[in-house]
Amino acid sequence: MRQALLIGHNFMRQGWYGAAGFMAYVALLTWLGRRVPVNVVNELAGVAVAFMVAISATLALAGVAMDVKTRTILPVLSKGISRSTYLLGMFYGALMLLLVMCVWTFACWEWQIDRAMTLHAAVHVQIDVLLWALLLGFSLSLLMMCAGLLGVSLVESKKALLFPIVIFLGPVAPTWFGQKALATPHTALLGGMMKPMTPYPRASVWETVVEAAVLLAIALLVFSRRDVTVASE
Amino acid sequence: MTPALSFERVTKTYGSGWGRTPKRALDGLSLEVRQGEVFGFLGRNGAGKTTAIHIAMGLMRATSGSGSMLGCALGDAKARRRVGFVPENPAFYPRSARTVVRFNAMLNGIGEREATRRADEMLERVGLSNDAYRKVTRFSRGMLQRVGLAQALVNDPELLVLDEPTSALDPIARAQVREILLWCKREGKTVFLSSHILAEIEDVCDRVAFVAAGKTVRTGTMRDLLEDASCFEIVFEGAAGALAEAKGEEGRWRVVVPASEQRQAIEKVWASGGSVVSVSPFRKRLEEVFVEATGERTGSA
Repeated sequence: MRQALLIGHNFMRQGWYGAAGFMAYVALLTWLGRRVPVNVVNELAGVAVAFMVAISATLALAGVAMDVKTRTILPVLSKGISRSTYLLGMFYGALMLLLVMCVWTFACWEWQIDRAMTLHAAVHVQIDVLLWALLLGFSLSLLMMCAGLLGVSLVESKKALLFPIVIFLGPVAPTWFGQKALATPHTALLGGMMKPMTPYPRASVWETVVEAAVLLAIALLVFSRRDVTVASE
Repeated sequence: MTPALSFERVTKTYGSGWGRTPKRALDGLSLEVRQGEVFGFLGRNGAGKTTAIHIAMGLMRATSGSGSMLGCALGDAKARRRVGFVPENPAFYPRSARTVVRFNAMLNGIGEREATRRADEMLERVGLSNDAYRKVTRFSRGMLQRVGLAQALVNDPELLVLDEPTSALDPIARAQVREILLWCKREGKTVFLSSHILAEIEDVCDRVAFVAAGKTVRTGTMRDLLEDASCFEIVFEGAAGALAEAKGEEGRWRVVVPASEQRQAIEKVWASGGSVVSVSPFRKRLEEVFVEATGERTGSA
């Protein structure tokens, strides 16, 4: 377990620039929207969540893929650690970055709401609505992260990106052809994300977290059985 | 005694998935590395050396066959704690050399303080103590190889697996690596060394195996491989023309004769008034043995 934490901290150091970029972006959005009505605040919240979801998927996926591509994975996996420890370490690192992004986003939102409420006395914002929006973002980001890890466990780097995209958008794809969306835990959340502040079943947040855990378990199983390198000779 | 590393009829086939043409990288590779020896693993490019090493380190899975490493199955995580591995063209996270080596030590379960102490010690051993705080991204290929050696030695391994450890090194750095290998030998560590540099293998290895087309084609001690007991080399002086096939310079002549004709040849030298300087088993160069062992098989394939 100590080794997983070590790998996670190492990954956090590497992925810090991506997370810092996201946080700077959220701060900029907050600054630009500081004097506008709260409905804009809600829209900005939706944009921030969408970015968080996308960044989470690429963080975890690109971390492992880059380790394989640059061969930095060889010295690591040749040590006395299992493949699962390595992947859990990467997951832990990505999760920590995601949590930092969530906390930062929430802090920015709260500041923005305070300002908006001061300037527009008639406006009342239910803070728990935004908190749930953040949880939505967190659970979807977690799902994308695990889907990314599954993708990179199954195929090489470029094709691996297809997995989170298909897992994320696959269930709602039938609606584009006038069909009903497939019933997966995160389908309801997708609706909530596309129309910020639309009521959605809150239980879906936890169901999506379970869905992510299942994907992570499959990723661990697959990654512990695959070849991580192809001989260069 | 349990071998430090063994492969038993190991095969590895790449690209056996749908629509892909399978390529067999290992075809029933069998070999055994005894504890405490320096073992050379030789073969042409594409012979399967790196594949075999990656299977041993658990980076790949064999298609069939078995093997053991320090008494455990190939690739076992517990066994890997007692192994040091230097991959071909090693790459590390963009940190200082000291951080990289310490990180690798800690991955093997060594505490932070001890890992730091050992990292400093190993960087000094590989001649990088002055560059310990520099980022490895600014290192030359040779320096990276030395960081690779330091991270492999940091856990005081029983078995050291080296995949082309000197391919990017200049002659001085190569000599340093040879010193490190000889130090490992003195310390009783087992070394499994894959290399193209035959002089290096000849200098440090106790036994070697030649691999071609994924199979071991020849294994033996350096003496067995290089000394040909069926022929003798006779060095003599002062009897030019005593033996028609003799070659020489400055009045000293050399001739290689079959063992059965050795006595006859010496008598001819004496009869011509010459004196025999030495008679020794004929010693081939490793390069000749390499070409003989790997070339034949490729030619017939």
